[in-house]
Amino acid sequence: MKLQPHDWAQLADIQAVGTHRTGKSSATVHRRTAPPSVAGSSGTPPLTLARSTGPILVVPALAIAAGAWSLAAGHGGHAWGGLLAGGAVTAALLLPIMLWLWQRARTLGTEASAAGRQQANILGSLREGLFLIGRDLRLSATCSASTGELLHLASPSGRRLEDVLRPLLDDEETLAAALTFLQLLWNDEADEDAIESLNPLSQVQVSFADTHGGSERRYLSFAFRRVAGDGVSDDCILGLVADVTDRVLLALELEQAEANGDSQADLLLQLVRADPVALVAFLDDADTAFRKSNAILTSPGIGQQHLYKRLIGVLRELDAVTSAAEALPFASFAQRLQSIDDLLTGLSAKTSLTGNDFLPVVIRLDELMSHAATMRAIHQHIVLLRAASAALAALDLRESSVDRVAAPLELS
Amino acid sequence: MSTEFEVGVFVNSVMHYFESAVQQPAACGIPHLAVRRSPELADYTGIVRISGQRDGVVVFTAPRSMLCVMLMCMQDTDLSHEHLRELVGEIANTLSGDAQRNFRHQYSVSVRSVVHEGDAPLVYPPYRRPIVIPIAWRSYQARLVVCLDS
Repeated sequence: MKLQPHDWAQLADIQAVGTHRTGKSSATVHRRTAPPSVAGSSGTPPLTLARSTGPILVVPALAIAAGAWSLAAGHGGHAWGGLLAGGAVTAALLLPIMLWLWQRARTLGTEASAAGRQQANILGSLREGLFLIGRDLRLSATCSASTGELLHLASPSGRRLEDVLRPLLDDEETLAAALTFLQLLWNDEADEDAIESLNPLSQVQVSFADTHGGSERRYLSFAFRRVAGDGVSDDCILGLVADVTDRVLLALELEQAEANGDSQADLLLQLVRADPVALVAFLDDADTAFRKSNAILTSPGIGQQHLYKRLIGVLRELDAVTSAAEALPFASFAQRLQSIDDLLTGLSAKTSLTGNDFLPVVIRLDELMSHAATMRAIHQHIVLLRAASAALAALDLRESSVDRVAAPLELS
Repeated sequence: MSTEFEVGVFVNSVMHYFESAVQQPAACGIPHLAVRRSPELADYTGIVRISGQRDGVVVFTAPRSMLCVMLMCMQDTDLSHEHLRELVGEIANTLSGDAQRNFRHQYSVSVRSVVHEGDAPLVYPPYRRPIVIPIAWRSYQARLVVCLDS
């Protein structure tokens, strides 16, 4: 999916009309703490622990100091002795509190390490690739194990997203659109929900080089969400990538099946309306032309001269059928012929040809032959049905005439 | 997935085998359809059967002389019948591996088999016209035959 010109206009509108970060609650980027399983790195829980226990430990320390000072003030001349005694008494009183705080710190530490383990388990077992992108559009250290597998990268952490995407995407236009989209997502004023609909990587075809020198085509779906941390430096974009190849191929097949169903119904109507004699003559001519075209391709020789000669030969053979198909009302046939004609014309404009260039021609020729065979089979069924219905009508006529003759005889 | 892409995967697979294993590239001839008759098979034939969303066969067939020269190019002096069968089987295995990698979500690929001239004839899916792709290598000619039902 690529951004269309009107989408770019929408992007401009979003930038212009973007609401304030602290304004509307639903449409703007909220400053919210990321879930610990996603944004929390291994260093985060101890830091939280230090923050929570630090202020609490200051209170007893101050209490000890204050108690000691008051006792010292009460003892007057024996200030140092009183200070020590006061300190000892206050410390003894505060010892249970200190022990409780120590216990609490241990519990929090255990919880923090458990959360760290859970985070590692989640990131290790996620089927989707999960990663965080910083303001410099680099992938952070936190990413799920599947990220590397899905993107065919040994270690995605720390890489620039541009470098990750460039080898996967076929065109620079999509890459540029993706980077613009992410930069826009970083914009505090932008409407996040509106931007999401413009994600150029929501479904994208990628190709991975395989070990045999070929390439493997897959479909990936990327989703991005801005996550606001406690501070501006903690902000990040949460990225999710999933392999949706099976889903996309299934959808394509379904689309193809629906299109074929429609075209079959149209073809049936066209064949019912067609002149049977003209139709059979056309199908015979087409069959001859297809066989001749295939025979031209079968002849030996792979030199450039041979290849061009055969190309022109096939083009000539099919030209005659194209003219005949245009004269008859067979849109599906004419469409297929036009497709092969366009292909051959494109090849004839090439400066150099290889045998591989003819592969699409042969596949389309095969499709044409199959289509002609289907037309012939349907036509034969129509002919049989017409003959059967004519025979039935004749039988009805005969029976009714017999009845007319028999009725007066019965009366007499 | 289009037939063009599927056939292209098999053609590239064979071409890459010649480039990498034999160290001499082969050329793809002009493909054509085997109409009303089965494609001619050479002395040794490797077969990969495909089932699932599409049923069919992918066949690599080559003459004995070509396979012998291929083995010699691979610094192999054993030109026995078994060794020639193994070579064709290896090419079929390459085809099978590439098919599994590219189409694993669509169909399953059976273990390859090798037939020799005079064995039982190869059965293609009915009402289909196999696509024959000549593979020219040095002065020899092999064939790649792809026949998948729709």
